[in-house]
Amino acid sequence: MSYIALTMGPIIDTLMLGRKTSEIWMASYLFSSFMKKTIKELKNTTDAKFIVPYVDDEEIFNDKDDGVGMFHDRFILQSQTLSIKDVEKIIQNQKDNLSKMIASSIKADEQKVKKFFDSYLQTYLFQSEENFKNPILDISEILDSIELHTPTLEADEDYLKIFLNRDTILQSQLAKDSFGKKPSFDSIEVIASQEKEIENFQAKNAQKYIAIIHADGDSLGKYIKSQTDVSKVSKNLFSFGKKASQTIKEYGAIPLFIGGDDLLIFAPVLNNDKTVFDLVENLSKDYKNTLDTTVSTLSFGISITYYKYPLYEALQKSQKALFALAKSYQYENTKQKNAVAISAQKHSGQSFDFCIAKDEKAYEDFTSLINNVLTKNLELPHAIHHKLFKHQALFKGIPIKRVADTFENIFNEDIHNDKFKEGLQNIQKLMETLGTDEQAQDKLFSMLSTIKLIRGDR
Amino acid sequence: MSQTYLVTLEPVEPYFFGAEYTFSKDDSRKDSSRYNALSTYFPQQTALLGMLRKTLLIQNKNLTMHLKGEWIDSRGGKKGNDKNYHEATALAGNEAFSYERDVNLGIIENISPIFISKNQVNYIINAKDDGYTPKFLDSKMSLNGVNKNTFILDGYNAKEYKDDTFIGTNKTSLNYDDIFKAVQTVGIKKAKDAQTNEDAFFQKTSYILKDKSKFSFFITLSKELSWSETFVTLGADQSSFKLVLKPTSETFETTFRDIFKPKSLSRIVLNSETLINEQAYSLATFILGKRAIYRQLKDRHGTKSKRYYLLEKGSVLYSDDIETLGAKLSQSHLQKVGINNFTIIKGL
Repeated sequence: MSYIALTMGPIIDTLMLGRKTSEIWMASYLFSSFMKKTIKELKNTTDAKFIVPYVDDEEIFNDKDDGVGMFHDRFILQSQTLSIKDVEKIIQNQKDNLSKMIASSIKADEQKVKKFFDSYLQTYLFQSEENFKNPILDISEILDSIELHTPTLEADEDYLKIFLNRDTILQSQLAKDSFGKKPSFDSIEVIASQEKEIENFQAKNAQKYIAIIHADGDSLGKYIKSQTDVSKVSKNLFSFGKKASQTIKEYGAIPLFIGGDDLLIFAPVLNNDKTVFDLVENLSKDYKNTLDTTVSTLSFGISITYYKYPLYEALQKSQKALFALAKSYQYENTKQKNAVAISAQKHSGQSFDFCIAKDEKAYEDFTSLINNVLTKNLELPHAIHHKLFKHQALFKGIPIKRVADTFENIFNEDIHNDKFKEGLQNIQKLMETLGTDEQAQDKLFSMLSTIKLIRGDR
Repeated sequence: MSQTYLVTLEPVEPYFFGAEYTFSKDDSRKDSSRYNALSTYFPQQTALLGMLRKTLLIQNKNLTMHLKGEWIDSRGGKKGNDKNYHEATALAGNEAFSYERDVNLGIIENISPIFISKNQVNYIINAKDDGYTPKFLDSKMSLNGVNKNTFILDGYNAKEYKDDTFIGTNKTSLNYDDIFKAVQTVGIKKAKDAQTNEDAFFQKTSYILKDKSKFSFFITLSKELSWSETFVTLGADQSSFKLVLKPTSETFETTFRDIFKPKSLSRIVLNSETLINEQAYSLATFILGKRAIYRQLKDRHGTKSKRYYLLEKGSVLYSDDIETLGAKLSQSHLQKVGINNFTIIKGL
């Protein structure tokens, strides 16, 4: 009996080629579809028993999947008879099919397209007869290393870039099979504004911003180790994927990729009175409930950018926010991750970022404040950010118990005690929770900038 | 007689080096030009070559700056075949750089890869396998159909975000943020009727070097120069730099000798962007690297050449036959402009 595992790519590099939602969708879906077809062929023609992903639901192998890529970039199987060469043959067959489809879509020479994709698509296999203590974790770690290999590429034309063109994608057989007809994709403006009819795009300012969300499970290794039945892990992650897809669509967002604990989503920052933070909250609940665990949580990296900002850079921002900020976030001495990291770039050129854990009190205060501002339960002074920033050195030098008095002294005009009273009290409470040191104040300013953006300020 | 110089380039303003996507003509866009463009941190070696060739011609008074552009004027003889033209050709060559063949570069014998000089210390991009232990496992892997023993980098954690770092000649390490500072600017493209609209707004990210850091590189010329300092322009925006030349007996190799720590396996660390052909690739057991697209400007209208896929600085190549791999990478027409420059580190 041996384990055979596959990891494929380059997914991030391919995503970076996309400029429009349809292009980024196809860049991701290509891989998911390739994996689906490869697994289907292995499942139907060999003795392969898949450990990852969950494959017992026959529906997931239908060509028609409404554009939702549910297959991760890896599989791990067990087999008595398969060799690496057998799996290579099946993979090559799928590569040939893909090249044929793309060559037909872009009306290019099939042999040249095939030569390009044989080098471009990275399909790396691993085989071992070792008796792994925890095959999912142990083999995944090996695949993590193997997938770093960078092959050469020599081509006169970048056939993938030519294919990843909106008009070509909509006419392609792959897209038609997925949607059951020629698909249509909302543009970034439509996703951001949630307005179907865009004429000269006169949406409110907040509706001109798009959130790209990268989510990833924390401490999944610990969760896997805690499960006696390894097959249940894949099944639970699959169930989470299905639930997450529903949650994402209900919010008005687009799931570009759902693979286990890995999510990539394009979302409006604001949809009626709901925000991207409500989506984060609901996805976190879905994860907790379907996996039935508190051992593993979901961390999020969110880039918020103007709708015209290059998607490939916004994608990089969200990825960096997830891995450089959220995944390394530590708080309350011993806790870590379970965080939301925001990286925002405004149309004016201003940028800000912050990271906070979802079970910190300050996160609760922050999301509650957003909700109250949007439902107009309270109002914030327009230039609150600048006023507080002016007194940053002062706040840095005082203990928490003096914050209330200091607020009273600074905001002592009639309007502060009347129209803005409750709003200022909420901000004061948030400052007291976060602290007054420089780092805490920077976080507060970034949070206020986020609220202002959501509120629709320029 | 050949002379080697240490060249420093100090930006006098935020600089912008174009990558695959700038505001210029672009084969991926049919509609109006981009909203945002991001500079690369370093200029391409070919950009340095172009700048040097132009500077040699200006300093030697062969190049005339006209209103409509710059060119080698005919001075008395037949156009393109007079004393000025021949002098210019002897000084700087007369062919555009090619990734595919050797071209005449005049008195330029060699340009080293570019590096950073900061507070008397020189820095290059560190090897991407820093902190990891390469090893083979007792199992099989197949990389795009090529079967080998499984190779892993022990210590690598896929969930840990790790940016590339710089390593100094004093063995210290710097991050990108320690050297480069992003400068975000916004602008408005005016229409012919001088009206502006929301769509005309664009953003640009340039960089400045912090703490008086400089770009540096070595050049070897077949004759000595009579000048040592000037201002030059480089990059898509023609950003200005102060260029200073100092004669030296040092080279890139002597400066960065023994900078990389050896590991259990022999490996090659790339000091510059590197074009790796199929023959060289077949000798590499494993490549820990990143591919980047390089193109050249074909004409003054900004039309770009075909894409060349090169491995980035800091990429690491492992091989059972490291010497032969090194020989295959040593493409002299590329190495003389500072491309395909690498260090072989033998295993322990």
